Amino acid sequence: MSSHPSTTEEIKTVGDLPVEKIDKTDYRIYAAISYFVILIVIGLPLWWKTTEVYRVPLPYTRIAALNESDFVLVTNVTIASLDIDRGKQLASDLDNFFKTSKLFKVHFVVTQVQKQILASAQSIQALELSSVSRRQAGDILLLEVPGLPRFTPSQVLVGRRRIVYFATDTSSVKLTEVLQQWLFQEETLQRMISSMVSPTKSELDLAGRRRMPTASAYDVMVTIVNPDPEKVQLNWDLQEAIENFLSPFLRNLAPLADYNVKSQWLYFVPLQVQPKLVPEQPGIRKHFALSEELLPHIITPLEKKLASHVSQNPCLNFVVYVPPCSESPLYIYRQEGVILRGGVNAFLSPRWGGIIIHNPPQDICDNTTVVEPKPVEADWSKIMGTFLAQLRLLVGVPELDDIPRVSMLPLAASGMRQWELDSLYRVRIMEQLTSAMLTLQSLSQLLGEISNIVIDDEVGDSIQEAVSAVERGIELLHQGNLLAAFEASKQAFLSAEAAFTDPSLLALLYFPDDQKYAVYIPLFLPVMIPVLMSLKNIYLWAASKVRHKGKEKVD
Amino acid sequence: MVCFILVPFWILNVGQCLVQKDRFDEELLLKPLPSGHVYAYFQFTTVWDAPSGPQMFQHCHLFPRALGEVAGRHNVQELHVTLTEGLWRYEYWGFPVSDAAPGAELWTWFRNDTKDVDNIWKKLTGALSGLLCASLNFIGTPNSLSPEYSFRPTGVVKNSNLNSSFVRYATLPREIVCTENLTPWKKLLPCDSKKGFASLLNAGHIHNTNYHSLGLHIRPVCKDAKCTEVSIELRQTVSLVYDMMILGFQNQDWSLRKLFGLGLSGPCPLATSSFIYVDVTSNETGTPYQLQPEPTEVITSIRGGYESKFKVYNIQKMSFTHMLNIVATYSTPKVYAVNVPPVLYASRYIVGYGQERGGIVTKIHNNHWKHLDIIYLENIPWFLPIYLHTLRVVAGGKEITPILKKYVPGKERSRPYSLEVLLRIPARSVTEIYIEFDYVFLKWQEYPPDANHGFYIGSAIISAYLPVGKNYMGLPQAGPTIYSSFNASREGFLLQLRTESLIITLPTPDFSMPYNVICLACTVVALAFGPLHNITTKRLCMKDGNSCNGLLIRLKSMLFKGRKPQAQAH
Repeated sequence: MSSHPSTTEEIKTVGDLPVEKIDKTDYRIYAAISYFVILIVIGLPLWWKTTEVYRVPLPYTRIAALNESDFVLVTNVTIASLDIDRGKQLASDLDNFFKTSKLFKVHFVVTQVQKQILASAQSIQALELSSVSRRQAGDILLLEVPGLPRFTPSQVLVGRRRIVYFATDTSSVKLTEVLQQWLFQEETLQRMISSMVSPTKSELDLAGRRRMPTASAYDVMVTIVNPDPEKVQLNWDLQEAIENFLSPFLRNLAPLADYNVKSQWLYFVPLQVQPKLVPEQPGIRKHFALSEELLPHIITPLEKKLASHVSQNPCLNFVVYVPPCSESPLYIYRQEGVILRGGVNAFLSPRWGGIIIHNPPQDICDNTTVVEPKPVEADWSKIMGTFLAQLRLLVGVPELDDIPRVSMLPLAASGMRQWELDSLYRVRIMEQLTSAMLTLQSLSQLLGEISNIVIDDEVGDSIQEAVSAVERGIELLHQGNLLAAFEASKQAFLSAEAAFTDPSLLALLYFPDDQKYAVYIPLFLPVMIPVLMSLKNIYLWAASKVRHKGKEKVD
Repeated sequence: MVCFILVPFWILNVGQCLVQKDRFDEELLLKPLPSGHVYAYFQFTTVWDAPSGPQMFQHCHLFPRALGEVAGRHNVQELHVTLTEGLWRYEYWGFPVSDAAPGAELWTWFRNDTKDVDNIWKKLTGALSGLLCASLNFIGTPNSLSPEYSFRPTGVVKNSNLNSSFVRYATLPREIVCTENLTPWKKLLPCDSKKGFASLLNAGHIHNTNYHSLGLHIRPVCKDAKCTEVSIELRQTVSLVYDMMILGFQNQDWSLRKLFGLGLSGPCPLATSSFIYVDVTSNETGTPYQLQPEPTEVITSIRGGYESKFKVYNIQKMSFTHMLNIVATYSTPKVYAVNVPPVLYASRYIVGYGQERGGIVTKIHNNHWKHLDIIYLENIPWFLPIYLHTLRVVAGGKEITPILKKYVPGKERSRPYSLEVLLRIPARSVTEIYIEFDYVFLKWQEYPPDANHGFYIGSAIISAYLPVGKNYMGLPQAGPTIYSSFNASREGFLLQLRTESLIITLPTPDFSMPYNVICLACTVVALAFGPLHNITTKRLCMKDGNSCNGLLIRLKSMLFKGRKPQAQAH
């Protein structure tokens, strides 16, 4: 080696090259790594984070858990009997019947009632007003009245407050029937819930179909239609009639929802259908017939003048139609040849309202000395009585099926029995809680399916609010506190609806994915390909480093 | 302190003692204009002694409930909406009964106890937009003014201490008025369009006019002479100007049937009064015309020193065996006299060139022999910043100093420029008001559809108190009906003129630009990034031919790998 100094020098210079080459390759690899780190490790997550759709964390598990929680209406029933043993027997019998109930959990309490209280009462009305009758909302008192046949032929009499009076010989089966069918109306509730949960499988019953959907406020609009003011003159004080007849009833319902009463007069709005003329026959006067199937066609042209441009509340419409003499009397026919039952010339359109046809009196029409326009007086008690009956159905107080030997006290002026109000509370609580639960669940399902929906803080808050209100409502129902549960359910319903219908949800919904890619691809594709390709070089370099180290170790 | 500043003088006939506390009057005024056009003005007035309080508009009889609900919900004290197509030509036509700016115009006084006026204003315009099928919902704070002097309440006010923060004024000059506005407007009438004068309003014969304007005016008025209680007055108006020559008739004769397509079948049975007035003043000076049938009455009205004559048809007293058709026939061909313009009129135009700076010039003509005090209200949208220091008022070569200036500078996207100038314009002069503005760039989403069409600037409003009643047809403040304007001489007559609305072209971008920019920028970045990446991570070096195994060679070798052993086997 020493004899060839020149060659060693040569080797050195040659040997220099790989050293330098290695260093420079290292730098290049470092550069490639830094590209990778900046673009992929930092850049990609940063891009992802900054373009993310804003969404407040939501209580998904609690929403899912709502499905499992069962709505149970806890109700306290007090059985007041003269003989405490009989009371206990009744309680255990009734308890057995109600064990199978899915919705109701009934607590029976037995008390003994002093004979003198009953004896001193002259009538059921007196008992109604006595101190016994005060009950908390939702509770029921079954009161044994030994001398009930004195007052009524029925065995069981349901009062205007929360008391059921029964004669001593009443069986527990009969009492169960009264509780189930009249006071609790469990089947209606069941049908309502199942039709909300699975609308395709089950249908509402008649009462449910008529009832207005739940809302925090309703408008009640009374419209008087005078199609021909040249022939008929109506000088009616509508406002006073509303104040006298409808307002007391609606004041009763105030805890359930707000009712705004409005009224208007419409002129020159004719029936769009042609009533059939029934000519004079022996025993039948000449009149006009309107078939029941045609009634929906009357509503449609009216609708144009009934809408409100400011109110968002559902509206209950009540229309009085006064036909001119030339088209009266006008009667609604249920079917060929059968005039509507009860002689009430009115009909109810479910979830919409009612229409009454008020025929001008025959003597005024026939009297040619009365010049046109002929003045027609209003029969307010008939018109408003019909409207009240229709309003009860629309608000959700159903017509109850008869039970033999069971009756109820007639309605007071207020138009509502307390236990009817309670059952209305139950319906509304169930409806609102179920609706809130379903709304929340479909919202959380939507959020899972569509990633573009924004949930801002406000919507997030109302969702939280709705979830806790549903939970609170269920809890309050377990405690048997009907009024507080109603407030909670109302809160839940309103918050859930507000969250679901908030316009901010849709802010980004119509920003389609393909447009996003159209914007990103021109940038991402040409940049990412070389960076990703350089990964191979980095790998090879790293592998060679490891091998090199291994070799050194072996050496 | 509560005081009423207005006292009514009209109580035409005390209506029958009814439960319903409202009355409805329908009127039609027909007037041949000096230019040969025919002016038809319908007015339907409902006055209602509404109960005050929150339940005010809940129980309606003749008053339209839909409108009452809107007014009641939004705490409205006074509401004036007009929807107009065309321009009223003051110079040739004189003054209309009720003035309106082209497009949609809305002004409202809210009650003094209203909180958050801006918000309620927005809601009100939304509700009215639904009610009248007009784009009034585009009115909001960014295009609304609160003028201090130009818009005072026209009705009763409980407190004479007025605060202009409760008034809002806005126009939509681009609004096109058509049948979809007329139909809901007619629905607000008690007789709808089934009976009475409203049956004459047929879309086909309204929209072929030179000028048509629908109006809705709500205001509180005094219930009686003592004015201790307040009633609500709703005035629904239609102004139409027909040009008989372009309608295809060979002469100047006109009739109800020619104007409206059909005759009148009778009054609205709900109306307390139904009158048709035909202005025959021009018969005295110009070419006379005869009316068929004969009127029930002739009224001579002297107002502000000027006499006018009206032939009156009391429709309720006429018997209707067939449709009523009022026909006006000229015995000789009409001769047009030299136009005598009214006391005050104005015109407006844009000056400047290019798309940087411009100016607005308003010329106000005063033909009166005495100076006139006027209030000039300029309503400029926020995207045209005006410069107050460039405001120049020149009359006959001499600069005039305004008596008072009230300027509210605009704010981008939140407030328009509002300028009110109180001026004393000299007698028999033309006053020129000039102000400069800048054109600005908008954000690309702020351009309306068809941005190249241009942007509208609403009319300027000139308010004046005329000392003479020449050409003046406006209603007196206390009276709602045309009837009440007969012989109603006052010290002065409040007149408001609307000028032309203007159209300007703002610099308009190419709207596909953002996407193009994105694509171009991305491509440039990608193009720059590729070589940079290559330079920094790769090195160009020579490779010897043997070790050169590119993709092609490797593929080849893979293909021929299988064959070689076979060949050897043979």
